[in-house]
Amino acid sequence: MSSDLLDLLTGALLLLGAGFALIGSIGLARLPDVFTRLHGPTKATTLGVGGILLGSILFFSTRDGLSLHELLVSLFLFITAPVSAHLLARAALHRRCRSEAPAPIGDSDGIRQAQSNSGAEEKRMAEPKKDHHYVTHEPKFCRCRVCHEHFYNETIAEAREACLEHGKEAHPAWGTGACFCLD
Amino acid sequence: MLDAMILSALAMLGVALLLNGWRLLRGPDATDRILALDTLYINAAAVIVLYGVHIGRPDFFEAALLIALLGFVSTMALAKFLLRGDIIE
Repeated sequence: MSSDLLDLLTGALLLLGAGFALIGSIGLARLPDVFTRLHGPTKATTLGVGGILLGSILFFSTRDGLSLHELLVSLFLFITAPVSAHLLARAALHRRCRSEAPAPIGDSDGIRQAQSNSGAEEKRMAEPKKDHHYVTHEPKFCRCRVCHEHFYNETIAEAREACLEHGKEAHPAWGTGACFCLD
Repeated sequence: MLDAMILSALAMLGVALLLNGWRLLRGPDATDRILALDTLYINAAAVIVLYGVHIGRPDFFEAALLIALLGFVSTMALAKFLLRGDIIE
């Protein structure tokens, strides 16, 4: 293959990668809520970095012998990107971030409406949006951030009260910040 | 020809970095900011690899690998802190 054609191919791969990275970042800047914003960059940047690394492999392989060590970076990113995206999505759920998505059909209200009339779909869409309530499958407790004491009470409100009381006595400088609740 | 393509790819990545920085400053929630940081370091690794191609030296990829490793660890730590209120329990 002529070197002109190889140069062109390398440049095309680099431009493709940079384009994907740019699209992912535009998605991060423009999409409306945390969950849609998560989806943009996590896909596009792995493809983007993948394209740039492929271009780099091609470039250095044509100059001084086969060089595959760039594959390490892309392999590492391909493994880690879904893991960090999953954790960030869980953090967003835990913090009850605002979501633009309509309420799921499996909602108890949704089922009742589907039984009462056939036009349930339109009615569900017409209904005003309500806040989602997400259930986390974590044990419910409060914890002191300073001395790591745990508070397992009957209800999470009691645990929070006990934890705040403990914080006021033991760590007055922390204020209410000493208490962290998983609810 | 290749030089012009590399330079325009670098310019595109520069715009991507600026957009990430904007989201990092503005992001309404801490999750947005962490996500912006995550994207920022991946794009920075891409910029470093591209720069290595531009000046024709193959040893820049090690810096990119280091950035990818440290960025992943820091994203995990920050997300863990948001989720559990602590990093190592």
